[in-house]
Amino acid sequence: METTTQSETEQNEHGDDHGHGHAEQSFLTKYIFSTDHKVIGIQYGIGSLVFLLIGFILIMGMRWQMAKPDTPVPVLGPILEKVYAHEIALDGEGKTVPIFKDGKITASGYNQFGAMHGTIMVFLAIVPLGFAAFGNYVVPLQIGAPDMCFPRVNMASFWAFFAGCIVMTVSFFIPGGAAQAGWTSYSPLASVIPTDGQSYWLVGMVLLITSSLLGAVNFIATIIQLRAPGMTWFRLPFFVWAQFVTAFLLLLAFPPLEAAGIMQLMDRVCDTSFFLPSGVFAAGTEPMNVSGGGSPLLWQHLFWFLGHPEVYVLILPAIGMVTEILSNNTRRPIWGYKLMVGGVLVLGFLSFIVWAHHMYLTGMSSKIATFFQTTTMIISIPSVILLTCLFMSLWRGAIRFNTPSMFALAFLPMFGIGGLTGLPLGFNFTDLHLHDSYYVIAHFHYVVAPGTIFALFAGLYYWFPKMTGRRMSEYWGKVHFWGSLIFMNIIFMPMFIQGFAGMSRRMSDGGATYSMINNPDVTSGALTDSIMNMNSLITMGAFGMGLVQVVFIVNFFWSIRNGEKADGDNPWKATTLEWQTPTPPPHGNFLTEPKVYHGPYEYSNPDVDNGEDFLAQNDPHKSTSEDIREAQA
Amino acid sequence: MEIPYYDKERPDTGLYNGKAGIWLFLASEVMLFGALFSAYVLLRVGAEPGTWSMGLMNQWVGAFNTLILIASSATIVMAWVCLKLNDWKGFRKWKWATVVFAFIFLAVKWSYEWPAKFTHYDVTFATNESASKVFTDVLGENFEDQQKSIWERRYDPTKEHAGGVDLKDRPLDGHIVAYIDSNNVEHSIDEAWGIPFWSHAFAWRHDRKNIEKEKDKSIRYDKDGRPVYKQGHYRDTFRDKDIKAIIIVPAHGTWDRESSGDKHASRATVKYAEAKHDGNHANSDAHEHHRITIAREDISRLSSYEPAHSTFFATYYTLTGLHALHVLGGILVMLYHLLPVSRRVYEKNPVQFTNRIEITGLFWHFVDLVWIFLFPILYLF
Repeated sequence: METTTQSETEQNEHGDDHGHGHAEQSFLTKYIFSTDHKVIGIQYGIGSLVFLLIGFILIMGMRWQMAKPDTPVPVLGPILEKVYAHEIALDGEGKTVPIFKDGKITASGYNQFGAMHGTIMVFLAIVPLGFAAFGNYVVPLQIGAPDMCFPRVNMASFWAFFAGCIVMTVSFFIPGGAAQAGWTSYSPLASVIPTDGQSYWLVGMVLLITSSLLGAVNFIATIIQLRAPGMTWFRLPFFVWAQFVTAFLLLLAFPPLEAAGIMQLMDRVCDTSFFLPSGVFAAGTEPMNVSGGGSPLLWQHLFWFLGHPEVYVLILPAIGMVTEILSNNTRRPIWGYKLMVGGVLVLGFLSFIVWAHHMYLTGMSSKIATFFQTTTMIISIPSVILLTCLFMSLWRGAIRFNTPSMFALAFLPMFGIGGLTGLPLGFNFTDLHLHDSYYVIAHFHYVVAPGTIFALFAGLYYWFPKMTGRRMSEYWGKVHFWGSLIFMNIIFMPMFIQGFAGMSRRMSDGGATYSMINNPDVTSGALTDSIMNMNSLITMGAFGMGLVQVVFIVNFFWSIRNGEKADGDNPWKATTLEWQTPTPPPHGNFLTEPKVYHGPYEYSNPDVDNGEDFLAQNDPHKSTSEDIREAQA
Repeated sequence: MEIPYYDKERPDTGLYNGKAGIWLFLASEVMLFGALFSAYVLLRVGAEPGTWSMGLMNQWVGAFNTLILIASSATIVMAWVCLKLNDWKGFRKWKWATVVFAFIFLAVKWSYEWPAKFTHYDVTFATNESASKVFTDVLGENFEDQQKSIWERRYDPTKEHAGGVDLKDRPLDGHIVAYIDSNNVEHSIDEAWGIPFWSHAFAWRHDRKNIEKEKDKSIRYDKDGRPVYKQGHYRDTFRDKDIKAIIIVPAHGTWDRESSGDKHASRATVKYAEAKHDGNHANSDAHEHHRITIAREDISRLSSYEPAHSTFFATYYTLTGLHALHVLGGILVMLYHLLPVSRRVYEKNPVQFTNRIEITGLFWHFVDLVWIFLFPILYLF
């Protein structure tokens, strides 16, 4: 506690002065065009939370239409009917038809919502929240750096992200509407689709990729260069390791998609044929007038070369956060810290050589399929190592059941379900049946929704006191947690069953036509009534989920000003450096440059006599057992 | 607030921040161009015979540009060395030399190589008979042998032979000098070309498949009678201009050798029409001033060497265009280092400024290296 007390007194002495004799910044440079990593982190956080909500609203509209194919969407429908883009009719008179007719989502509207739900959730919400927002705010603090390595590049990264968000949002309102070829934008469909929304999507992606590249360079350089004295590689908190590997994935996996995006943009704007084979037909009886000679498979390869590492971009920051929160709330060191570090490095490397398991149905040869099945099975080993280490860390812990720790605990089984149900998709022979069914939807949503998003909620509840000096309400936090846990499973568990039963994804009426459920002439449809009725259950779950998030939103904004004051700078009694500075941290983060003496998880160490059950990383107290451990290693 | 290791090296990594950053950035650039090179390999391996027309590239122009870029890589090192030796004047001298080399590179590419391609056309034919008629007219009765040599020069002779490809699918290339509209009025080239070269590429296209769609109501016209295209519509000059026939001067796959003295593409073509042949080809005397009129019904496809011409040209423009954008970015940064403000930055912190020059140099070497890969795969092999 000594260091904390010292920093508190210093903070009081300095008052509002930042402690470095800085000239006061204007509002614009301090909060809008800021180069401070904490402000940029919060900017990213707010932006991505807004898009998390937008992405969720899109899927709520879709879920309504799937449960009730002929009923107008309440609230959303009448609004969208007025403001939403019109579709360019193919009848030839240059007429347009509304995408929202009578408050109902047409098939093209459904496709646009689906494509943009995926794009927004992945590229505009979860990656910016997990990697950019938490990474920006927490990583420099955890390694004891005054800021990111390149503060202005950091700002450029945010504004490139902002521009990408604008382009993506605007594409809903242009003639023809947004992209509608799925978040994967497979060619030739994406190349020939008659809306400029796809071109907007590509331009938006190039901006978002630029943002990610600038961010990734900055994170890696910061972690390599700006670690405080004594902060050796194996004293880094695991969250920093996770961010380090994530940054490498973004750095090396995103450029191929950028290249693919440029080529698809060429296809759309300059009429080239990178992804269009000779004699390709599109909505007609004649081949398209293109030179041909392209390869649709090329797009899939380049896309999934990003797409699979992207999965780990989504999950690794989440695992990092869960590790920090679990260790803190079990008051125990993480079990197998070095094993986890090794695991995450292997995971990062292997994630580059598994991409084609998304493409088994392209008719690849069995030899290639065998290679990708093998690497896919191998990559599950480090994943299981990470999860096992986290489970082992719970063993004999004195777990504090506060909101962040409950979200973090729920992450473990949810991610487990998501991961294990991925194995049948990694095998060629089972994937043939399950591909593009609701089983796939359920699988990756278990990884990302109750998995990553729960971890992100845990992180929000956990670092909220650092950002604001106040805690969010525990009571409403637990209401949010239990509601989310129950509704998440109501939403996604039935999808496994629907998928097994053969329901395909991307059916705008929820499979009503396919199942022939409303056709009196057909006695037994392709899908049984019980499978079809799950649509209503899932939709009810989705709306319940929305209701519970209202609790979170109110709690979040209310607590910024009115929440219970956090006791001191270190309310969770954590060891890592971000809790050893004043709250909120001043410009430059630390009043004096921190010096690190210990690893990140010195909890409940019986050898330490500092009167606490933890040993802050910059606490100069000696720990004999730690010395012995380090000598052994 | 000072960022540590801003201008001095961190002892355990041996890097200052900027150097760590630029190497990481270059790693991502390697992946960007690596993906494009992979796309090149995949598309080329899968290309059908008679579609990978890299023989049309002028290797000497490419080699010249390669030498220019390598020279600029040397001069940028000299600029950095001068700065290390506190020789400000020398730094400016070598830096200007680098900028000039970079400008020459872009000038060759954007005022010569690309425009010359945009104004050079390939015609393929509707039937073997019409093709035979035109080739006899151009090359004489025994055109097969000559055509074979043109073909082999144009495509990879070890892999692709003209024999397997129908006569009608073997392109005749040349420059359009005039067109005849449906009222039998001949319009000279200047009238047709009253547009900048870069939009020329998209202005002259024809595909026979569009004839059937001539009454396509989905094309709307603006008040000047020009069609308003939307996504998915192939722009077709013949349909839009009501063209009955074109008059073309054949070039036999030697698209820029004759016109190498010309800076401007459209002048190059006019000159070509009047030029004496250089004697490279047999029968050349017989074909000077050779204006061939080809009726619209005989043409299967007409396209300049624009990106939409073929996958080869799509790859060529994408790769060289992206590379040229990197060159342009490098020029902007280097010009910034030559502004008067840089002198003040230098005097304030010489180490930091020298580091900036080193980082710029690392980027420039990378741009150079990309070209060293691009040159052989696009021009040579």
